[in-house]
Amino acid sequence: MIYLLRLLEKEKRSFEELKGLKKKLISYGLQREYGLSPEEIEASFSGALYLKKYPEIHLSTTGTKGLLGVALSPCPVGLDAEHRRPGDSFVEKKILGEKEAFWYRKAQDKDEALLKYFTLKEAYGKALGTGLSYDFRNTGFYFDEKGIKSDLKEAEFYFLDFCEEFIISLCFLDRRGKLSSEETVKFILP
Amino acid sequence: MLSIITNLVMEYVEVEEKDLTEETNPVRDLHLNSYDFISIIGRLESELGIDINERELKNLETLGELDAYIKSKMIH
Repeated sequence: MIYLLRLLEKEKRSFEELKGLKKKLISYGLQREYGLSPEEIEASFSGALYLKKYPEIHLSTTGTKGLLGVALSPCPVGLDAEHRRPGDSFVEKKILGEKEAFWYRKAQDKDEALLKYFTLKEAYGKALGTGLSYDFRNTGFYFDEKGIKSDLKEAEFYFLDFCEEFIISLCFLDRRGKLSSEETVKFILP
Repeated sequence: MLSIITNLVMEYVEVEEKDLTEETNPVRDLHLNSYDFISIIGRLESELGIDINERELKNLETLGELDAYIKSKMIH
């Protein structure tokens, strides 16, 4: 399930404060879904949060200006959110494959389309466990009002319709049999 | 080279130049997100005429390490 926390304060928060809030979100989800306590959450040297004793529970976190999010799932999951902002030609060149660039040029709202491509690719990288350290120009996505198509057969993708301010993408790897379609994109604001 | 990187970083996050050092971690210390990071990498490629493979950046923690990586790219 997806847990989102809207941050309305204008005050800048430290990395440790934000990590603490993510930890609270994870704790909320762990308690709610699995009856586990916050002590199960561990942090790596780089600050990434994970559940060492429960490898069967997959975890992904995201943070952008004004929003924190956590996904807990029985299969590998990647969650990525970005606040809306103008397009960036450097990001466009770095992340889009040839076919994607073709569709991107035809998009009515290019700013939104670029953020969608970016969050899809980052969500996939998070589910893989590599972040953006994979060949993201070679992963092909196409999306329209009917849904998201990709050439990544083992992965399923969703956009979370949370609020206009954010573009949020979700990726599941090897979902079949582990998560019902009803549970797939359920999200909650604690 | 570090000054090119710090000047770029200052366009993305509100930070003073004196607070950016070789030890600065862009994620922990500046909250630079991956979207902005990719944009900065794209701009460095464009401005310096180099190719940067994101996979090689995975283990870089600080601006100083990024600086050293880019210098090595410019030598080759």
